[in-house]
Amino acid sequence: MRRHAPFKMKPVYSHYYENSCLFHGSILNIMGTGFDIIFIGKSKSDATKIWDQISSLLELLHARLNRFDESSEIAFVNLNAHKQAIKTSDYLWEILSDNQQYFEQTNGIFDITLGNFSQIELNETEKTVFFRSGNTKIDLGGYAKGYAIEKIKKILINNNIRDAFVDFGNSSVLAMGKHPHGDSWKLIIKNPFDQNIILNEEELSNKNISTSGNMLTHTMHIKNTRTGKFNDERKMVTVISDNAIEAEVISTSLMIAQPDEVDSIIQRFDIDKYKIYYL
Amino acid sequence: MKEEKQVDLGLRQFIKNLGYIAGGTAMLGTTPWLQSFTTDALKEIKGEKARIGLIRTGSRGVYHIHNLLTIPHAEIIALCDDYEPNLKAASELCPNAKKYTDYRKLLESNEIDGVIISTPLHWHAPMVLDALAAGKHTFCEKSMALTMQECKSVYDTYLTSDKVLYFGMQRLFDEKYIKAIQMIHSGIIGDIVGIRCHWFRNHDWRRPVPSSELERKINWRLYRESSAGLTTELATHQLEVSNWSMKKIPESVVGLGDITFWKDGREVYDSVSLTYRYRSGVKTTYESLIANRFNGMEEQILGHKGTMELAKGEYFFEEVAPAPGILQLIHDIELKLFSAVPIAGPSWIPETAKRQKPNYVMNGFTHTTSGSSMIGADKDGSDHLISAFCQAVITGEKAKNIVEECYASTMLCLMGNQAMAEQRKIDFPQEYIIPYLKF
Repeated sequence: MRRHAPFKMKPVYSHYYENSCLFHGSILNIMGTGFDIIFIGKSKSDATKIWDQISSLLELLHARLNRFDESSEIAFVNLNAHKQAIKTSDYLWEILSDNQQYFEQTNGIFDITLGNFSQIELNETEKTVFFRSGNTKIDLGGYAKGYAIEKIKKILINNNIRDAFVDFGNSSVLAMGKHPHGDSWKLIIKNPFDQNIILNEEELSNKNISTSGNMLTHTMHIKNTRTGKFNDERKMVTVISDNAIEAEVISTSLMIAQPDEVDSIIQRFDIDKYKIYYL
Repeated sequence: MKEEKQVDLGLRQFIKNLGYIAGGTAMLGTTPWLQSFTTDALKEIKGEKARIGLIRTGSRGVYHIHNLLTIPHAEIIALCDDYEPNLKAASELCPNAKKYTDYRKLLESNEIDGVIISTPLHWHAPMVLDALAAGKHTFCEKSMALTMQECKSVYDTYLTSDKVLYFGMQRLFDEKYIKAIQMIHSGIIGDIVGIRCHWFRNHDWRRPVPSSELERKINWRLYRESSAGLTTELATHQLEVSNWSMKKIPESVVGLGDITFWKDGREVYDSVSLTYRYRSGVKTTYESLIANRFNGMEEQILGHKGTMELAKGEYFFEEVAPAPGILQLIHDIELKLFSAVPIAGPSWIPETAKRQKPNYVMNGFTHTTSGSSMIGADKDGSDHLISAFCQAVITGEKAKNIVEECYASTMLCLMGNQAMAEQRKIDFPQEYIIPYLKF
């Protein structure tokens, strides 16, 4: 039997701004980054209930998708799938089969095993996973935020929220509906190497924007799954899409993709717009 | 260039920085006294000048002269001081101004539209009343007056006067304070649970005296006949921001005051500890010592979600620091502004250090002061306050709440002095409650 990890209280902040009917919820450290959401037009008590749903979901996903959490199914699979085929839960099956598709659609760049996806065997009838090699490990770090945003979007829609802004560590953003005093949400994209330089401005409504890139303080965190080397280019990619996961997949992939394969990759996804910045 | 010179770029920029837009309602909730100073209103007075007379030209008077000389819609017409060295020094700065030694004579002049009074505290009420009676728009340094009776009499006279009256409450015109208070009102630090104000210096609070008969004239701050001490000289500013944050006035005060170090014949305390209590139970503590400067000057607004340090323009969250872009977005929405926010970028790693880095109220350079100057700091709002007064002298438009705010904080100082002198709790006296005050 797997034991449950002790419940750890994460620093959570929320505030309801009466004048603007605006709710702001924030979690300092979740899935390796910070999470903020604002949504508009709900009463304080309704907003608080919705926030409870969202923050519990994030806690759940944080545990489920975290390979370093010993109690997670991912950790169990990573430890045992090379010994025998492991029967997966419904949600993990969905994640693995989706990722198989992303792996193929990105010419093998988007790879949740960071280079070993071809070693994974998925059995559709049994819904089992087997690793052909022992050093295969699944890491959902580059996928989880987009996945979480899609789930949160469902909660917001189910609660009839039209206008909301979700910021997952700046790199994964959902802009639903519009700013209360505008017809969209306006974002500035700055040069991560020099915060004084504004690279672009985007107006978004019912769109996701995902950003991948290196920062001065945080380089070498994107691994080239083909070469096994970390990317150290002064480069940043932004992708706008209806789907938060696809935005994530493409922004990560375009950091690695060769210039001549970009177009063919893009065509396989539902992408509104992408931009590659050489900084 | 010429056109620009005719309106005050400083005040115009200040209003712009606060996000005022023509006809906009942004920020009026927090700063109703600024609604007359939109850029459009500034254009209307283009080319006109407020003709100003200064009553007393000591160090604070000269400080105002330096500001006035940079204000295009102000002209210094007259100077008055009964202390020759000060009058002479001021006259060198504005040689064309007429010189007076008796302020009543200055008030008789028809050429003067407005006066600026920078005198010891005991002169505030008599001079303000005389100036209003003489039909002059009036600016007077804080605090309002030496006694509660005088405060009430100034306030009652102001209500029936058609003249403009301002007091030197410069934090009301300090961009850093205005933005921070707006953030507090928007709920960023949650409910206010306490306020800590302190002002520490290490200085005897004396000026050099050329001959001993001038001691009480020059060192007026040290004697009860002319001064109410550290409360009316320093605490008054901090009690004002305390009330501004709370949108309420304390009901009572307890405290202790002593002369502990500077035992040089002075009559006012050099060590003051006061606790003001709001009806909700929230308390504002005020401490002042002038024989230790380690803690400097600060007003800390303590909320259940965070802390705002007003003088430094910094704030901290109890546990979580949301992404800065999100805070800007919320702030914009609260102010009904639609602008782009810097959010999209590579993912950031949250700070996990025990001691949070401060979050800053103002982008870029923030002007802070240690509170050590006896005259006044640069860029603390005094320049905008004087410019606004000169504009009001031209338009004749009274400013909302400035007199009332000064009344409230001066009354609280005088209550604090009474609490220390009588060593008992002092409630806000019924006979001095004015309609503006919300407890």
